Amino acid sequence: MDTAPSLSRMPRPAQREALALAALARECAAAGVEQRVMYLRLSALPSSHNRLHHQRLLREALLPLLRPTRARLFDLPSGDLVAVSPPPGEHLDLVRAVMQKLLGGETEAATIAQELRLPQQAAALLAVVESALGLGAEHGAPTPMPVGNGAAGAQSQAADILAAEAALAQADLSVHHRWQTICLLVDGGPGPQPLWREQRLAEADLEAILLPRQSLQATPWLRQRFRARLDKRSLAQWARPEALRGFSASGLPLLPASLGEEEFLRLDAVLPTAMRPQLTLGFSLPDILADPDAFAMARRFAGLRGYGTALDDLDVRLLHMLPQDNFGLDKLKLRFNAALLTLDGPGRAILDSALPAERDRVVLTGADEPIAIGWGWERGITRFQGRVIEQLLSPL
Amino acid sequence: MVAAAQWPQMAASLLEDVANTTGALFWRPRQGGFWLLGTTAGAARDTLALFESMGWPARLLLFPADIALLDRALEVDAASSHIPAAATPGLIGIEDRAGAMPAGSGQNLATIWRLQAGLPKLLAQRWMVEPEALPTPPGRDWAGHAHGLLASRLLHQAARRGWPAARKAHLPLMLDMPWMPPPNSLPAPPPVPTPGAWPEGCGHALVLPLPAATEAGAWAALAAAHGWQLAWAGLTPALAHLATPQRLPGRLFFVQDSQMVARTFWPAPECLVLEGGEERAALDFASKHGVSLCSRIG
Repeated sequence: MDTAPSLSRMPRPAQREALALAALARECAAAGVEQRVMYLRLSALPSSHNRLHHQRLLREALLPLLRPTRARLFDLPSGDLVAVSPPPGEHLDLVRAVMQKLLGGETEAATIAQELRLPQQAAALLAVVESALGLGAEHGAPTPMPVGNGAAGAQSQAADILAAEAALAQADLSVHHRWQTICLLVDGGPGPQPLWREQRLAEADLEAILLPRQSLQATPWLRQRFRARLDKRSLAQWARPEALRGFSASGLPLLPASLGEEEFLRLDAVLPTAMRPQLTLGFSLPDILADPDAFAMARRFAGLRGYGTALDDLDVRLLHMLPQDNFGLDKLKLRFNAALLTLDGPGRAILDSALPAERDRVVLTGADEPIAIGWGWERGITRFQGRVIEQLLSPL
Repeated sequence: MVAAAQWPQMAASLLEDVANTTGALFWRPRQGGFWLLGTTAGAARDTLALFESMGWPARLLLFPADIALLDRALEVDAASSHIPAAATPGLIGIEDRAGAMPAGSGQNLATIWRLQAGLPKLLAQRWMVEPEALPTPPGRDWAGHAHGLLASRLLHQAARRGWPAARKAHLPLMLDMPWMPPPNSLPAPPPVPTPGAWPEGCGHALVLPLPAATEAGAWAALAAAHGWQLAWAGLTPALAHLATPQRLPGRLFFVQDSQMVARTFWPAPECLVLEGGEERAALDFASKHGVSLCSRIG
């Protein structure tokens, strides 16, 4: 949307205010600054209340409420008013109450006084400005379309991801970390021997919290962007001195491009050389396909620096895409799937040829039922990850 | 020691490491690139090998013989005072901007051809996205999102039977697709081209971005049900093993031309289409291995 004025037509004061509001919305979205916004659609007052003197009365009632606060008031060319205030902004609630009293009903007030939040709903606010400037599709009848607040499964937009990123920057992720231990478990041998612990963020939970009522399924590139941000946050926590003090053999699933990010390089700089082989970086096949160039770089860098590497969480249905050399990665983590139990002869042959002959390089993940362990043993696999292992490690 | 790299943070981190352990000086001039100065010959050679293993071009300089190069770089650095940050194209509302683009913009009809007996032979046309039409801030995800928005426009246009005006009816049409989950339905392809067009039995095809390969089976079934074949875009030398119909259900595999392409083993070169390869080396590689070319000139 282009709200810049043309040189031949210098903006009138109300247009200038609209442009200032657009700039503010963009700044808040870019910097992730939170603001409460009250959008007063005075132009949409019912005709019985929409005389000039009504509007003047409303303004006179509102201005004293806003003036002594840090709120900013924008007069739009459409006659509408927009008040922007940093949170908590209780006076905006007062404004709403006044509107209710003046208009005589909650429903009426709700259609006239709409609340928006920055940075989450920057796109909706920009649509208001656009409309007030006569640039919108529905001239004169601005209806904010609250992005990030739409119907269930609404398609995400770039603005939603930016808003989620801003919220993510403040969020405490520690409750969303999931740890699982990869163990050596031999048929007839002693109990599970822990090899390394893997940290994973509960991506789906965070997606549900930060992008409620939305689905990133239809916009996979936006989902990748969101996950890249999660990686950065995780890595920043890993590089903290207290995290490094207790460092033991660990696994960390990452997007390949995350190895080129400052957060990873900071961790790389503070992690003692001897500890690098103790950290296994996992890359999944879908992520490799989504950014093969970054993967080629990440694999070389991880090799140079001496990190352990793994093909993370491989879906059995993608086995045929696996090259002979497991993409040059040390370990192959295969996700257990009940379909494996009923593999026919040829299917089993494909599986056996795809698995590295050195079975100690293979980890069977998703071992949530004992049957997975039994199946793994039949195939010569002795490294497992999943609920069965967690239960064996911490018996009730 | 001069080194330019695609991954500046990573290159800087590697060089700072060397500088710290060898007492050398690490310099990052404003015009770009990296210098490691005053290191020992042995350490410099090691660093050079390190950069070569990352696939980044680097040069070994010897002082005083090469001092003129350093002087020159210092001059350029001094002259290029503060480099202003490039204006970042906005992301908010990019979906609306894509929707508001005039019909026919953000797209291009490219030609797929190969040299046969010394003469160019047209094989197919690719109705493709013109990514420059919707600029984004740096980052593969944003570029991918913009590509998806533009490709969705092509799909909508196809659903309205709005084929590009320059389409040649006798050639198969390759349609750029967004990365998305396989939909319930697809638009029908244009009328079937003259049978016998090359490649053998190749008809109209959907060009899927490589990440969609995790659902290759579903895409293949969906495409076949609607009269399309499949082609794949975005393969790189690191994933060369996938560029064969045995691994991925597809007739053609688009590869961006790079120095690495000619040095890579490709299991089915006759299925390969080199993008942006108009240079001598690319043409030689293509004619030697039976590889086709995709040129954005109609």
